[in-house]
Order: sequence, then C-alpha cells, then structure tokens
Amino acid sequence: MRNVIAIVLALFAPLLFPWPLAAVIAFLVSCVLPPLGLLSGVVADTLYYTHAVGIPYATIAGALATCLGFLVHEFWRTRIMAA
Amino acid sequence: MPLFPIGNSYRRRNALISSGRAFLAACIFFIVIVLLALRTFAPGFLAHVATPVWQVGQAATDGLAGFANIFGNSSELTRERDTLQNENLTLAEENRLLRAQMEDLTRLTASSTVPSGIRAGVTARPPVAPYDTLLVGAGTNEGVTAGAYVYGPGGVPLGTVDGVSLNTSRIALYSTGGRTTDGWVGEKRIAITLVGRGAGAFEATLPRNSGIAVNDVVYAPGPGALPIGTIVKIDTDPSSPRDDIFIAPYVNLFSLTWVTIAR
Repeated sequence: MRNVIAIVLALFAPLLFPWPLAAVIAFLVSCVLPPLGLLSGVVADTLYYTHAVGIPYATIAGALATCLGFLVHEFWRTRIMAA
Repeated sequence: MPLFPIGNSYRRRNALISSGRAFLAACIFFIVIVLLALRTFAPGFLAHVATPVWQVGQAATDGLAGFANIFGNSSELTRERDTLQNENLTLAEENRLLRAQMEDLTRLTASSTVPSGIRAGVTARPPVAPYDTLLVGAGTNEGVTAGAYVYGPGGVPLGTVDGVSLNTSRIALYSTGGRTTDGWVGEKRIAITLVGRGAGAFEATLPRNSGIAVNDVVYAPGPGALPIGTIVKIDTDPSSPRDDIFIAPYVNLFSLTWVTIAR
C-alpha cells in the first residue's frame, strides 16, 4: 500500500503541486522506493521542458534524489538511521 | 540453534534489494524509458493526457478558495467588496478613456497594438510548471505553429511556442532563466538585451549615465515594440562602468488564464 501511494504521488506531484513542493515529495518518495525520484523528474521534464532551458534539470535532480533516496532507504533498512 | 543462521532467511534479510522490490524498480525504470521515448517522439502526448488532471486540480483549488471564504469575517468581506467596487468603477472609467485614446492612435497609425490570433486557455503555469513554461489547450488542430509569438492580456509579449501537439502547446517564456531577448527601454528606445530571471522577471545591463530611471517602460519585439514591464531597481557599482537594471513584468504569470497565439 505504501509503495502504491508513493508511485501515485511521484506521478501526480509534478502535475498538481508547485514545483518546490513536488521536488520535496520526489525526494520523500525516493526514500520509500528509490527509482521514484527519477520517475518524478522525468515526468516533470516530459511535461514542461523547453529548448530555451537547455539542460533537463528535473531529470538530473530526480536522478540525484534516487541516489540519495537509495542511501537513506538502505540506512533506514539496516537500522543505521533508526531511532 | 546456530549462532549465525545460514539459511534462506539469512540471505533474504541481508539481500541489497528483495525480489519484489527489484521487480517494482524494474517496472519504474521501464516507465522512465517509455516517458523518455515519449519526450523524444511525441512530446505533447503526456500533456494531452494530463490536461484533465490539471483541470481537476484547478477546479479543486478554486473550490477550496471559495470554501475558505465562507469562514471569513463578514464585515471585512463587505469592506473589501466596497473597496473593490470603487476600484472597479475607477478602472472602468480609466479604461474607457484609454480605449478612446487607443482608438485615436490606431486610426492615426492604421494598426492595432493588440495582436489578433488564437485564444488559448492556460492549463499549467508557474509555480506548478518549472522553467517558466506555460502549457495551453490549443495545438495544431487550432492552427498553432512552433515558433509563433505568444501574448498575454493587453497584447503584452510573453514568449514563443516551443512545442506543439494536436491539442496542446508548450510555451517558452522570455523570462525563462538565462534566456536572452533583444528589447528597448525608455522613451529614447535604448537597445538592451533582456536576460530572463524566472517568474516573469528580467535583468539587463546598461552603460552608466544612459538616462534610464526607475519606472521607465521596457519593450520587447512583437509587431513593433510592445511594453513588457517596468524598471523596478537600478544597481550602481562604482567599480563598474555599467548599471544592472531589474525589470518587473506587467503580466502576473501565476494568475494567467488566457493567452493569444499569433497565427
């Protein structure tokens, strides 16, 4: 269930929320399921990227969120970050 | 019981990624690849699919705003309504005068400053859309072409069409961060290069003592020179021969609902 909610959030956050909030959501969902950060970034760039920008920042940020999310996820799973 | 279990459970507990998660991750990467292919071969398809979601989101936002107003202070709302009514009357009067003046000028120059074209509703705008991008609900079916000029209310230049699909278009605004646009400033129409700063704002540099002041009008190319905003700040550095000027737009991108796309 948690994974389903994370996937829905990753897909719909770039459509419904201001981009700074969507970025925070992308990072949070990538802690649950790391590739979702990249997915969220690619969705944002597929919708909004224009040639005037030059660099697909959302995809790059999504890939970074995936890397960070993977680290956090593994730390959490191995109880390194547990309270 | 062994001190260090070496069975299946041991392996499963310490595996980097479980099989279920690996399958889910593979599915997500597959979707990512599909989206990248869509971006390359059919860039407008996802925007077309997402349009109903944007419309529902906009309707929900408007509905919530209306619902929140129910709990507002009634006397404050009445006062606000009276103020707005007065402002409305004043603006209507000013508008009437300006319209008369514009008609005179139009007759004089035999051309209108407000361009005609395709009227399109905005489906996504900043801050939901990053990069200062607008998505509008008009595409090739309505006659929109890539590279066409886009104007806001009153004919204020906004940007150009970057990508078109059947029913949607993606507009790259002049104010996209780092985008440069040639323009003019002041009554003498001094040529400047406007650099986008995002959210509709621009910056530019001008030689010291160029005679430019705060509140001077800045123009962008359209049919002729069209006003795009005003100078709000001039930064002067004694060690630099040039001044940095900051420009606020006439059009508020965050509340933009309609645009006009030139044919």
